[in-house]
Amino acid sequence: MKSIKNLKNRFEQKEYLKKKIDKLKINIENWDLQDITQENLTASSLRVIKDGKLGSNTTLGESVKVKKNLIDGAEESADYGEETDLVFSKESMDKLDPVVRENYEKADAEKIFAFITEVSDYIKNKNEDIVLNLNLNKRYEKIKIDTDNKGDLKEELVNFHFDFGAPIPGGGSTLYRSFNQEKMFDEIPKAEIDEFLAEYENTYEISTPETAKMDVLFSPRSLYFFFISLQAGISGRTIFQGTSPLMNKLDKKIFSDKINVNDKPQMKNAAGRRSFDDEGIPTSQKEIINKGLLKNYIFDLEYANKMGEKPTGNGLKRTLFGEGINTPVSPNFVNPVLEPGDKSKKDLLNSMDEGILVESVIGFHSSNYEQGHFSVQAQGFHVKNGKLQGRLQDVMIAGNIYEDFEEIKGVGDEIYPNMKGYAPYLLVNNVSVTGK
Amino acid sequence: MKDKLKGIFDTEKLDYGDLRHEKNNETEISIEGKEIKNIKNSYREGGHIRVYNNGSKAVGSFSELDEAFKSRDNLINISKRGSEFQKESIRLKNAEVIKDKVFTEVNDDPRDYSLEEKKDLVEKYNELALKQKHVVNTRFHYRQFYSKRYFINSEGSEIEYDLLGSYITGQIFAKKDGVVQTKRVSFGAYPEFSNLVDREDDLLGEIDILQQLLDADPIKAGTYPIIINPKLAAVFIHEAFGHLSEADIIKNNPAFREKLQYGTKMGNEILTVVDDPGLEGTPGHYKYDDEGQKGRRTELIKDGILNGRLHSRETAASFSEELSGNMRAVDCQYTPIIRMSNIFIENGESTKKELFESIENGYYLLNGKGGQTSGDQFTFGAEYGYRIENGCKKEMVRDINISGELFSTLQNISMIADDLYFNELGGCGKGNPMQLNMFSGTGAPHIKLDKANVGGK
Repeated sequence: MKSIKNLKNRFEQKEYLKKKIDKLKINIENWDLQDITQENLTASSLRVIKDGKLGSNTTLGESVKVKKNLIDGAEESADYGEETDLVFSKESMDKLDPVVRENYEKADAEKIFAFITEVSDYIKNKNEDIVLNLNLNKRYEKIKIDTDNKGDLKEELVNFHFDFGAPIPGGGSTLYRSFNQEKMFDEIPKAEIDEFLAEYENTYEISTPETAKMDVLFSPRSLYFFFISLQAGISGRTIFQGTSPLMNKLDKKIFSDKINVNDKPQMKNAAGRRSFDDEGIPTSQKEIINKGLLKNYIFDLEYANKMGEKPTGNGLKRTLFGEGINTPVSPNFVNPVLEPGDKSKKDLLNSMDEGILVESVIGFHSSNYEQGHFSVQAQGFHVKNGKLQGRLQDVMIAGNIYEDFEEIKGVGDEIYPNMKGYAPYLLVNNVSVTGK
Repeated sequence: MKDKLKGIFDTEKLDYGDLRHEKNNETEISIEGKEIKNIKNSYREGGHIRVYNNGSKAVGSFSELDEAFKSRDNLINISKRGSEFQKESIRLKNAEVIKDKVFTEVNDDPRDYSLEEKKDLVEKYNELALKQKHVVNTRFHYRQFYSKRYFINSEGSEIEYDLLGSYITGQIFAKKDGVVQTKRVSFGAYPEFSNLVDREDDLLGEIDILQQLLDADPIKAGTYPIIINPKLAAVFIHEAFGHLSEADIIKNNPAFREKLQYGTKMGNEILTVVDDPGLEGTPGHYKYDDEGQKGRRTELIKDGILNGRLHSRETAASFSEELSGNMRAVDCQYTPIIRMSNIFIENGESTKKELFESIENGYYLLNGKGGQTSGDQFTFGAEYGYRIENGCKKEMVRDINISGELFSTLQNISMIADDLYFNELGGCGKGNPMQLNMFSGTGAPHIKLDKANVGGK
């Protein structure tokens, strides 16, 4: 670390990001232990400005060779980098908290196996015929950023993630429910398990609708595709590059007035929460969509600089399917939330004469999603008169969020996590469904 | 490094252990529009240990070599706790003890070129693309990955080996009358760098397609007979069948194990599907996998009948089947999982012309645009297509996604042409966390499906 701190004679500016990550994951498949996986890694990223040009490099490990390569590589990168007038973070923040590590340590293998056993037993008593898959993992992350501009930010985070599910009969895709929190789970989510098992009962029969436009009830889990498309649209990167479908749309109506989306970076228990981004810019809650109106774009340092905007604390090393030190920073949602409405899932189902409940979508990234298009296989259930008829097979839905999400029949009253953030059930009418 | 790891498995506290240590060099150059977004040569190192103890397994990654013994002890302890929970013991298939050193032989080594030379090459393609009509943005990416790996296990195996590959991918955006369309281009070098140079004509050909896409109509949803070109058929067989030939996907799924027994009729007798890491110059070529096993050619489907499966030592024991050598990890922080090496459909006996002549009303779909598998359900995108009328190629269509169910879809392959082609670029995402593997190849000739479910408005 010392060698990286003293680089003033080599660079005009430097930004050093270091993440220490510890993980433990227990994976149960078909009721039995399949994998125990642990991870103890140190990952770092160094960005520098030399002769007015930007360079960067990343690594895993902290050996002398690794550090030397990190610095030399960043210098070489700057030799070929773009000219820049970026100013690295001047912020300071100390979010180190011994309780965070304590929470991680306290949840030892003993406690995790005990919880898994309790959940397995509860489900077995209700339905021992399903093929139960279950994951529980804990993740500790210590993030430090320091810059030559006296930027000095530190944060410790711990997350516990738990999901359970079962493949549909015949072996198809898995229906699941997932949970995130900052402390080890201590109570079985009995209501959610009961709801899941009741829904699962409808998987044994196949019921495929006729090809038509109809009501589609999107589950919270399926709506990650909505966040990914919307993120591409509001990103300072696509706005600057002229490929966003949301250019010049601030304060314009882009969705139904029932749609409200906020980025909530510090939401309790959210797996993606952060106090500052990967460039050392403090995060803050942002209104993205208010009653269907587009309210804000998101920027990292680079695109804020290019567009004369302020960075919004959304500069993260995240990709479509995950995150990693090796990924360059770009504007990303920290923790998007599609805000809840006033309808229960039951109310929403009851308002459907005929339609489908989409539990998950397959293949969204094959579509032109940056433009809002989706053309995906729908996994879920056929619905008639508010009742689930059976599982879908060979059903596709297609459209564009900026057209189809103008007509929303109802928004669920509770939010649940998905791969990108949190969403409620969302009932959209008149969506193109390809079935029989 | 070897000295520091010496004796790591000299303990009686485990039934089996192995360790893989990697020193990885990666070059990345990303250009967006007129700007270089990322250019770097990076180096990283780390290791991964697997411990089997009392029928239970624990695995762990570490970035500091000094942590290897501590990591081993943690894994031994936790696997002991796991074994109390374990119902059915995890076993490993007996395997040969191997001591070997094998490194990539290459004539035109990408590592011999400077960062500046690689940057100049990518910039040349980028500038050419930006000059073309309607092109509003570009994203070009060069990636070169060299991984030097050291594998040891408690049985005495000790193997040094490496992986080398590089590629250039581009995503080109064109805009006309408010419509934005994109087209991908990819050049692969596994491992010869010369494959990446002098590709201007190929690039311009792809941009010509992109310009036509701006005026194309979206495909109409429905069920049609389709012909898919080799680039797309290769993605199709990877997504629709390949993943279900990976034994870790089906090991703990009783319904799949029942459905996917050897001898099951999967398709017509014209269909033969192979996985082969022995094909030099392809993305999925290797001698040893990351479990210390020799990579072997596996006939997954032979004359329409399920005939083979891709295995780890663990799944080979569970299924009582032969080892195949398909356990692979994409980087030092990952545990190996079962991956396809080079999966391909063998040549058929029809010609492309005969495939077209067999269709009155249908579509000809071209080039993969990504895909996803979930159980026996799959979806994949085609970059573009053409309507077929009375055996003739008609107007271009876009916004094409196909979905289906494995078993019925394979039965629908009714004709296979004789023009087998391997995609230049490897790529596959699998696992949690996702491991994106550039060393997984695909190939196919033109094929015809009697009916396919095509999404659209």
